[in-house]
Amino acid sequence: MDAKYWELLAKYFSGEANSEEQKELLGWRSQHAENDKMFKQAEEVWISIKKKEDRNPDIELTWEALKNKMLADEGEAKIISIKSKKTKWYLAAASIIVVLGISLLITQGGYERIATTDNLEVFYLPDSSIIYLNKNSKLKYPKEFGTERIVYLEGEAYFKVKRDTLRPFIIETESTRTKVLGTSFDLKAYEGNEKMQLVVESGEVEFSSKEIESNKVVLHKDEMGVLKHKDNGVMKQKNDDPNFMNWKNDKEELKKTKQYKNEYSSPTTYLYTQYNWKENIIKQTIIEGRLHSAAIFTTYKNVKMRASYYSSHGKKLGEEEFTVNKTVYPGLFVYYKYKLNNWLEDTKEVRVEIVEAKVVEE
Amino acid sequence: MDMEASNSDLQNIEKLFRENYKSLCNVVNRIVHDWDAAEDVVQEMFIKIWKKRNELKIETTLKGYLYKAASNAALNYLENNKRFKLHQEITEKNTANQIIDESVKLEQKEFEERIDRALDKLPPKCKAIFVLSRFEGMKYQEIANHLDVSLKTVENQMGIALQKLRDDLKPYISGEFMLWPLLLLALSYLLMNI
Repeated sequence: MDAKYWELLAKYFSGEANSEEQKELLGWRSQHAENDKMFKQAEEVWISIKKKEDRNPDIELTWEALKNKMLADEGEAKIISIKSKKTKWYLAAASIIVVLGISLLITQGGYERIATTDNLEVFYLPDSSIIYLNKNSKLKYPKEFGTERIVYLEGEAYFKVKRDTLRPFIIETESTRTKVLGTSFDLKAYEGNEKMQLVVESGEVEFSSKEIESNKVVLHKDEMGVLKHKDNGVMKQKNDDPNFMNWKNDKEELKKTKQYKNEYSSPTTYLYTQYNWKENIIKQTIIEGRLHSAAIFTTYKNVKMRASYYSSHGKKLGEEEFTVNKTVYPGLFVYYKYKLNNWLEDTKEVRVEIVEAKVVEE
Repeated sequence: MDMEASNSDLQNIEKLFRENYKSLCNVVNRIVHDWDAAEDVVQEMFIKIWKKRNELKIETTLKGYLYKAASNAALNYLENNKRFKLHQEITEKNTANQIIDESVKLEQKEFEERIDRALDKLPPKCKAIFVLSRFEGMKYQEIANHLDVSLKTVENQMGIALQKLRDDLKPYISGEFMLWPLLLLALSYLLMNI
């Protein structure tokens, strides 16, 4: 049979044939009993090949995994950095600031001070912002933030600022003031340095001179704010230094930080869970929860959990251990679900704790 | 993800994902006939969109783009995995409200499997075109746009598909074949009641 008629048949069944084509096909069909048979067979094939029912993927689990993947690919996206060069005059000025700072610390006592020499430090601020402090740097911050989150920096640091639109995050250096509404960035402000630079990888940051209050620039991705001298104003330019932030990705240096060592040696400190539970029709308890990681560097897997269940009088009825076989990326969470075999018990309370977790080696 | 821009991008892609993931997987699955592969293909696509989000602008207007990309990704997958696949899994059908004799059900399943196999034997592009027409109810012109082929190609590939499918399935569609399990059933029913 001519290929032309197969095309016509397909067109006819799929509703693509125009009236002329329909006429032609029906004419061909009535020409011969063989043609009619062919038409019927083709029709039967067309009808038999039916769409199967749609399958239902697990949207929740897939989205969570996908999100983890997308965010893990992100790397660090938002960066600001400030650099400067020393002058003697500035050194003197800086030492005064330091003295003032210390006296403040003594009188108010509400500050934490972290200082580095030839090491890096990585730590959380009280608002869960994450700081990478470069070598020979100091960061001073209040033990509790008030209506503003102000920190004082000498040297260089990378800030991953927790978003909080009501409480702006402000970094003061000896000559500049940087205001952010929630992003991450790197700031270089070595004491006495003449030239200050601020690099933004993404986000929106306001960079201003302390000397000249009204002098400010708003910086976006890949832009750099420069303060050449405290008597000059701040200026905006393209970031021309692709290695500006490299220090904070130095794996070997990061591995020496307390944070890294702690995450590695005691995973359970950095994992926590939120959950709720309900009973199914055969009185089994179904626990559904989220497992969060507060780690900065370490990825965990095979998280062993323990669920204990109690009677209305608080008497422990039993416990079960289960493992969440998912990869828990730093700072992210996974969902889990577990069914207890407690249908013989009258469970009134369920508690879930994290027993142990494995570190995913790089 | 503390940033405003990234946050709204993330929310947009989440919306896009939630609204389209299921049907995209099903479209791709009909072409590649491998559910796990279909999910992989679609997820890969979302990752790509995420990476290109600055050029693409993640909006709901991306929907058309999504389906086009999915069809092409499925086609690529087929072309890269040309080996003939055995079908270990047959979609479970809800038969609770149908009272059918086991043997009939078996025939039905067997027949569905034959169809799947016949479809899988089609050349990738031919199969994709047929699947988009028959299962997704797409117009020829839409298919042509989706797969970047000419309307003429869609027309002749549809013809080829139908011909091959009919040749392949001929032994099972001679009309009587579909009826005889029912006849047997009727016969056994008669015999049992004698």
